Amino acid sequence: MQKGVRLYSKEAYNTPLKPGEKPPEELALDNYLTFACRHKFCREVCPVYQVTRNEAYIPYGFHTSLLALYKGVSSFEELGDTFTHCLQCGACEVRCPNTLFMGDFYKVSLTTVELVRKVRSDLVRSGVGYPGYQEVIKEVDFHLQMVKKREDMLKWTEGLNVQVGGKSSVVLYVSRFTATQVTETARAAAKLLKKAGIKFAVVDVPEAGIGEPLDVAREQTFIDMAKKDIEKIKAMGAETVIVVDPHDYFFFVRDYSRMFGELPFKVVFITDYLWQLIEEGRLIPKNNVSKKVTYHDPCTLNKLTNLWESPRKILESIPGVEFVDEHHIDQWYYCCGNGVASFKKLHPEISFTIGQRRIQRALDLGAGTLALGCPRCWDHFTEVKTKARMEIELINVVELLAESVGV
Amino acid sequence: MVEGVIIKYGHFEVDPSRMKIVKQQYMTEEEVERIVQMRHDYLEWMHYNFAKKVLKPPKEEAEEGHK
Repeated sequence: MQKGVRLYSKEAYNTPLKPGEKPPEELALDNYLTFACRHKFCREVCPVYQVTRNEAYIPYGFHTSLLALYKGVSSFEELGDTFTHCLQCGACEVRCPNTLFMGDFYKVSLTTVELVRKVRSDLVRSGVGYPGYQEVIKEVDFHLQMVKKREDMLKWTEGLNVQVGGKSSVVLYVSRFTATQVTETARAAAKLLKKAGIKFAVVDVPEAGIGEPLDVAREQTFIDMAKKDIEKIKAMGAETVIVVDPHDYFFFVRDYSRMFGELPFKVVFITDYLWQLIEEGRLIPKNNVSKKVTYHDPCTLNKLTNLWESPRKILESIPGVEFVDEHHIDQWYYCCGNGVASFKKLHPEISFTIGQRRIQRALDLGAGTLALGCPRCWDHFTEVKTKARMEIELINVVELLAESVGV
Repeated sequence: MVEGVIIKYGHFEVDPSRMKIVKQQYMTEEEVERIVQMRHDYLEWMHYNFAKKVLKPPKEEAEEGHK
């Protein structure tokens, strides 16, 4: 591992776990803090627990299983099943009193997402592995191949007449998933920025954009991709980077800033930027959009980076939209089912059920449209609604705004 | 309590030298702000959903009772 890069917030996570070896005492102490709390606030909020009703698959279970390993009453090989059952959505972290009520005071919080990444990677690194990890490695390799195909990565810009690369103080960051699989969202974002008269350039071409390398001991790949993108953005002279995919926003705001220190540019999520343009009168939602809409908070925004206001404000500003809101705290309990990294590949059935339940909640509100903030939610919900034959329109908030602005 | 507390990034923090058994983790200023903001949001949500009335300090409560 590259020196000077802070992969984990807790020092105890830096010692790799190995078969037949006792975990370090410092890690056991950290595990004990969660084991001993017994509040289990992390239980009901967990979308995986809501489906499985298995306490082994909540942070309480994760920490207890590691403590059992320390006490010599379980084996390293048993961790695989437990630690694959996590969406890495961050709900437990924000619901846990260790974080919510004491984390900022003691500087000790629940760090499930990092722990799950660590244990999964340790399992792979040691040769033990976990069910389905080969599929995750395939996804990483696929991503690495795709980002080399410049033409495919920039196809979404066709006909938009946008600057690609070069100097610009405002940069639009569109990573592989959105650039190749949910292009309409990226195109709508670019059209809206142009309509508002923003001079911007698109990154030529981003390499990062997935969290899976951190689940399969490919941490160096994750770091290398991130560093290359940061260097590219710096070379463009960017002051503001507008991010379209909330997963990227999470990586920039939390992972990259922890790993590399303060970033030399400001990172803004697209809906925050667009709402600012609306407030300044540079974008006017004028066309009537007659829809009954509810909004699904992506985990990477609502739980992991606490961004939930701007998508709601945008929806409320669109004429004709009947917005039925579900409070963002209520949505700590929700997830589309895709997860932040590998979950869908590891447990597709649970992933499907979580998605189905979320869509049903939207239908129960009488909404005909589920507005989204994340291209990956759109992708997963599309699959779920097709398989489950559920009738609901799925659309990104950015696209809905573009429709109202008339671009 | 007071001598064991410092103020960092404008928020109270336990004196780090007292954290000898449980080690503190790395936490940026943004992380601290995020946790504090989410706590406020959560308490507001709890209040909205579950508080039937706001209890006043005993003195104010007693004064209102006399009116």
